[in-house]
Amino acid sequence: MSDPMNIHKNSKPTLELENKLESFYDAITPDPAFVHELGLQIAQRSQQVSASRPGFLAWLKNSLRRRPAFAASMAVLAMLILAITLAGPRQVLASVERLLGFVPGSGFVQPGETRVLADPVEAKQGEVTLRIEKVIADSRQTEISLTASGLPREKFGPQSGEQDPQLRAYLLLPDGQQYRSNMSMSGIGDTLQASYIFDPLPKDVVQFTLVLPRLPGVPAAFAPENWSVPIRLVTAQISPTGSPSELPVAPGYTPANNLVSAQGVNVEVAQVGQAAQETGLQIQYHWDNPEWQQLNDAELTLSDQNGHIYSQLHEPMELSGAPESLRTYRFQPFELGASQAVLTVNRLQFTFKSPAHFTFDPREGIQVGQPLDISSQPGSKMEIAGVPVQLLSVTINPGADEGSKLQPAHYHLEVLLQDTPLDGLALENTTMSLNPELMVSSSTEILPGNQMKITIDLPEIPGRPLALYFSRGEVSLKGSWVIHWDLPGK
Amino acid sequence: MQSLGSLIAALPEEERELVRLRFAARLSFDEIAAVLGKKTSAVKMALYRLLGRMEKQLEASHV
Repeated sequence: MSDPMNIHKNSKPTLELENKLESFYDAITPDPAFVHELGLQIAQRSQQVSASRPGFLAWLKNSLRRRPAFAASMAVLAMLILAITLAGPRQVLASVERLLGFVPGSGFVQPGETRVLADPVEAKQGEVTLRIEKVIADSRQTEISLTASGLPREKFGPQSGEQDPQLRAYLLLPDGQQYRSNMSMSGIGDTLQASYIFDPLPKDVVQFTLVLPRLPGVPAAFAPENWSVPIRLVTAQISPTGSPSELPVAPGYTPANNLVSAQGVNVEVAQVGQAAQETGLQIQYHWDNPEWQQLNDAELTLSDQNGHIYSQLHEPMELSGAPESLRTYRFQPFELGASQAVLTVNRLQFTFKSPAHFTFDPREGIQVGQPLDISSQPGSKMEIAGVPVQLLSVTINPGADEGSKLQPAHYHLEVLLQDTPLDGLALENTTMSLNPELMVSSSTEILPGNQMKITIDLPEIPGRPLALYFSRGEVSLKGSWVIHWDLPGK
Repeated sequence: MQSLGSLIAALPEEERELVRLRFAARLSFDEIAAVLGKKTSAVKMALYRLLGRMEKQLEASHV
């Protein structure tokens, strides 16, 4: 039979039912309509798979082999699929084949396709050293990360606003083509750090010049300008031929029991890469609650069977196009005696977007400066992004300041609320506004006993009911998602 | 007693397709995800829940 589900060791559906289902289908002739539909679906999906990746056809053939009754019906379709695949757009569908390689410092890459910088490259002008830390060129984009040290930092602060297009970084290819950066991000701490995203380079390009008319965020004439750094890339290969144009990379693997599901969240170790310098984990998060928008943060620990905890390495500044729910973490390499890895996720934090609101009529018994108990009013008990919340009181206070320039505040509306953490889920903070679509500023004060006081400005005491929306904020989820796997070769 | 066949027949089309892809066509989770254009983890979770529900229904029909 096919591999059993292995989703969670404590809640795995019985193998008996899975066996029964397979026997059930073995006993019947496949429905021609289903075979036809499945073929069409596969053909449709295959259009999105690169023709250069034989993996798709391999899995299709394997699928047919596993189910001979389907094979005959689908033989013609297989030819059709082959034709469509060869003519189809050359996109990578990572979920079909996940044979990734791991490059320390860079993350997971597509072997044979992704070109990377083997070692950092430095250029120096005066006191300033420019260091190209990372280059990853694949079919989606070209990403470059760099640092600059030796800058006269005290002479300028962070620059904001749009940079002059003429000053934007670009790549100069050997044939004279220029690739201007699509996106950049920079920050100045002890050193200047910057990341750039460019369009994907042609497949055969392994050398170019990075041109920086001016360092990002640095005013004119404060530091050397017109940087021009030659870059040579190598192709990541799991089994290199020995050519200097290839970089051997650690093969990625997917642990056998790689998924744990609890509290409405799936945590899945999608890829592990073990290199001598570090271990990389690509973790996929999936959650049920549609109000949770993005994963902000995850607290996790990587240890081994001896209880040794591996430190997480500094995450470089990235402008990755990866979805928020797929994260790459880098850890110290496993010790020699380690044979089993243990990943523990203890806490997750999500941003949320919620329709939760409460309608409050200021004409009903409110006096300026006096809290009005609303805890027994209909609608004062609500759920914000899965967290039970009780609104306790509303107070309108005279404005102590002039508010914003756009809208002078003569009053402050304060709402006191209390959340009740449920199954580890707690409200971290929430906005309050009169319009769910506008980012109206509100201030939140966290009080003891899971209470929160949220304040917004009002120009006047409203003469009609007000809808108060608690539309955005953050929730945290405490739990224990634990995944064990055997380390290969141990 | 409810048979497996009638239980499958009573499933919504989307769930029936999931069962057929997994147990009739014997596709892996990655393959099902590719065919349906969904994430592997979403497929695993959907199947896991579906099987749990089917199991309960079968048990209930035996009582």
